[in-house]
Amino acid sequence: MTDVVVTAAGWATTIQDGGRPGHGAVGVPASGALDEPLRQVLNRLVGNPGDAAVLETLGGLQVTVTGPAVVATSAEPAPRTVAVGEVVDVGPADGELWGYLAVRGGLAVAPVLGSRSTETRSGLGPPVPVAGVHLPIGRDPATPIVADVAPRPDRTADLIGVHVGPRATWFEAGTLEQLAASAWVVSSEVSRVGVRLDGPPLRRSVERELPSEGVLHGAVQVPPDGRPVVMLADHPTTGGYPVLAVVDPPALAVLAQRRPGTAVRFRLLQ
Amino acid sequence: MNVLPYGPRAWLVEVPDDRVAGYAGAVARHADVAEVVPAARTVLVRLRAGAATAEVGAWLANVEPDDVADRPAPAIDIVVTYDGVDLSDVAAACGLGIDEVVARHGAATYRCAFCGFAPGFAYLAGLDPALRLARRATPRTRVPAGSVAIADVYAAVYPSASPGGWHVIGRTDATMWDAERDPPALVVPGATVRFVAAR
Repeated sequence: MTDVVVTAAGWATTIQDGGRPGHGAVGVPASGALDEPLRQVLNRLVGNPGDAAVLETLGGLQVTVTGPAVVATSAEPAPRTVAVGEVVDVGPADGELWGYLAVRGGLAVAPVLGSRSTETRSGLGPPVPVAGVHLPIGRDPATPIVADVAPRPDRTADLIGVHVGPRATWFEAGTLEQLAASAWVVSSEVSRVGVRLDGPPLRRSVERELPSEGVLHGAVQVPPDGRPVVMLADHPTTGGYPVLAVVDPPALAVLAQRRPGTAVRFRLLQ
Repeated sequence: MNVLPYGPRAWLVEVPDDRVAGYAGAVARHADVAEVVPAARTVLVRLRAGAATAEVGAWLANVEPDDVADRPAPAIDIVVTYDGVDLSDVAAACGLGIDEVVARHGAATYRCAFCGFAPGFAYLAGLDPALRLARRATPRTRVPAGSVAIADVYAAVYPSASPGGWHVIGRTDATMWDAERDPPALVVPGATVRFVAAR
């Protein structure tokens, strides 16, 4: 069997597949690749089925292989064969935050609750890869590699679409419009849990405590400091901060890929 | 039932708090419903891709909750050593002796209202009102697994080490969460729980 060998763990590196939706009632978020469209593209390039697990990293990840293997990375999105001894650098594409490595056959670590994704808050799922670890490559999918290049997911969208959220009425009149009209900046607190945005604080009109309620990927929560947090794949399944708005699902990967310090603007849908 | 918008593929439904479990059970049977997340007074309903969101939303407003009052629920005893770091602060804040805090915490029968925060973290309703305290002003960066804690109207056990703002009054060896177990959560919504002081 051929392995991927991690020689440098990089930053915030985890294994991710399509996630494990459906366990929210016992406190387990879906997890899965933050840039799910990109994970799909890279898997397609190496001939994998869509559920194959990949490596996700902020950068600095280096791997080798114990036998020839076909890979595609976000910085070099084309299938290529890696020879034994060759070092593959994995990091984000220019201007993006999260990078990926897909390998033909997928990473065949043991699934937990039906998924090979690691949930970073609780550690549920495969262990976080450290230097020296061997990750087994799954069986060859026996499908032809049909594409040399794939269209990259469209990241040019300037505006992130948002829908009205369940607790919009807990905010001062015009707060949704303020969310859409303000220039937000991605904060430096990067995680798989959420994207925190700096900008003019959003103000609540209802000050009473909100009993914990269900949270979804894309929820725009507003903590007491008024700086919105957009929940990502490893979000807590319940929360006590009011949800002002909900990011349109196709825009989630666009938002997750915004680097700290870059601007974000929202557009109210409907 | 008050149905609130939650993006293109979900609704958040406000439900009387004694009907949350019954409502979640009734809604989960709909073919377009992918997942329900019950919480204190709401049920979050996530729909399958391609579901008719508006029609399901209209239906959600009139669903009759299941009657779960008589339904048998698992009963779990959790053995607690009452030596938590916040025990004396809790006693002082409640104006009670430490023995009284322990006695009141152990006397109640709790029901798991919902899970959240972390895998297997059960919000246990039924806490003695004399023990009701707001969360700690500053959360701890790390609360050990097995910590027995209280906050607001709930009791809970931390299933894994995590940051946390609840008042820790004891610890247990009970395994609250084991992903290899079926079901992984020791305490699921609807289950009843009693805390038993370790000898």
